Amino acid sequence: MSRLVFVELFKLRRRLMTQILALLVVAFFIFVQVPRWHDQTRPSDEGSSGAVPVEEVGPDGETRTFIVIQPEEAQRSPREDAALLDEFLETTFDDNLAIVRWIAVLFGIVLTAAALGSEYSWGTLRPFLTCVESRTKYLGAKLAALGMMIVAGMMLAMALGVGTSVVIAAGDGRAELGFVDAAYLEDAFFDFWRTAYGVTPYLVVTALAAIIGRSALTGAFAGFGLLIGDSIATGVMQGSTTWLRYVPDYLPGHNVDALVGVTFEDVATRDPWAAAVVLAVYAFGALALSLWVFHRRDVQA
Amino acid sequence: MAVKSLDLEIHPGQVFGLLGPNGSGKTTTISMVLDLVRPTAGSVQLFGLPLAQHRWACLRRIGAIIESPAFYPYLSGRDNLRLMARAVGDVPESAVDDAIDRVGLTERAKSAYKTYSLGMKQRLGIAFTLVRQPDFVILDEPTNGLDPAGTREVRELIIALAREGRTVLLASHLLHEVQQVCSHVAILKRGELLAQGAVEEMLRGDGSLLLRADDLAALQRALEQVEWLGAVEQSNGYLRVRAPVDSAARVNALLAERGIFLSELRPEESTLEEYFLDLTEESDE
Repeated sequence: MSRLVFVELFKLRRRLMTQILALLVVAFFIFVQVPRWHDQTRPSDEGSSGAVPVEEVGPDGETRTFIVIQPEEAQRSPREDAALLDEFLETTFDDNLAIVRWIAVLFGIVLTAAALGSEYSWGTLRPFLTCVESRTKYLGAKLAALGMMIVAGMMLAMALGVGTSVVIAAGDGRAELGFVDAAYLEDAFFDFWRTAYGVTPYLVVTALAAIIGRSALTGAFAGFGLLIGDSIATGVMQGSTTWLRYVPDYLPGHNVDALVGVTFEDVATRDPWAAAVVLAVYAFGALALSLWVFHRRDVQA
Repeated sequence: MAVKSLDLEIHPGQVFGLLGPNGSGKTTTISMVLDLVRPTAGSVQLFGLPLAQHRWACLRRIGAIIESPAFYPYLSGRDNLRLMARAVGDVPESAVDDAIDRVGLTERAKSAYKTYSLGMKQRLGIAFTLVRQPDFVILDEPTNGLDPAGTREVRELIIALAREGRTVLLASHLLHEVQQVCSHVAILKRGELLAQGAVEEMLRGDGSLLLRADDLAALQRALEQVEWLGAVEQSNGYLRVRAPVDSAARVNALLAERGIFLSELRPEESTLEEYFLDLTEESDE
């Protein structure tokens, strides 16, 4: 099996598409830190002046704007300014992980659909299946390699995001990393793997569709369809007052949110363990179905 | 149904031709042998083992190309073979280079597969079958896209493989090619087996001798007087007489006694093409 995983990794690594996606990840996660830094520094500049615009409706009904100079004790001290800037580094892991989650789903769907669909379109599936011990091992190795490649991509993105943040902050003389302790690292570790776990159902559903449709297009259509359809359905149903508002509890998106700790106003918080179980049902259900279809079906071309 | 009630027997060391017009079920038959298509009834046995229960033990010993060769376009020819050899396992690195060398692709081995001509792709496909040093080689239309020199090389390669003790299954509709290299053939049409056997037996004809002499009329009269010979008829400057194929010497001696000296005497043989066309046209009637 490890032999086949190596072979699949080799195929993925040498593909131009993988290399382009990796380049996009590198470029995106380096440059996205610049607007993040800008956002973090702007409120500090305004706050330090102590001038706050206040609107009031006068007795004549007209709205007037006043600039209120806050008392000295309410103004942010230079020390507090520094603390706010230091938050840039303290939140950089979570902020980047939130972006990685979406990039991993989007790029993962593209990569998974292409990896499986191309075997059909190039006709390589037929000769390759004569080289492997079993179809199950072949598909298992392919999915394992895809998973490893996507996790490696997520790690690369996180390393670039956090690394670039540190460089930017250090450029401003604020590379304070005192908040990094064992508890922080433990949280970061589990947050990362929870996010990776949340990506899985989308990828396995993409793989299943690519196998059923024998094409990359079908896989990508199903993956993106699930992602977009799920978001729309969740948004619509959560506003309902009937039983429909509970349906999102069984859709992947809402459960991924619960698992990675994203909460929305007016939406009941979901138990992360229940969310993990629902996502596992999606992932293992689609995986079992993929293996069954792949094992049973004739390979004609 | 692509293939119906097909019962093929291929013995070690044979070069076995699988003949049939397009759509006759050749590729489906090969796909069943390679466990790519599952038969709805019946079973495949390879090396004395049932394929369903011993898939890898059987496939490990088979090298095959099916229809047109298919490889990863972004990898070089060599990387494609290395990849597949790695998937098979226990294939030495040198086997890849040997296979590439054997099909004459060494110079272009490092070029991307997508830059190969059709003939080069076909050669790489043949190299792919040889990499795992198989006991059983399956070649489905291996000369497609090859120039005459390439076709000849493939023919020689097939003969060499047979000499090395490997069994070869050659599926083709090029009957001339098959006749030159195959020891046994099976003829399929619309998924059904029309005939199977040794090529020599099939081409032996229906037991006729072809004779030629200066005076054909005198020859015909003499032959018609011999009781144990069958019907005599003229054909393309020859006389064809129904007679046992091993009776040529007796016929020659008998005619010499009667003062008729032959300029040519040989058993009549049909070509595989004639045999194939007779058989497939018969099945249409």
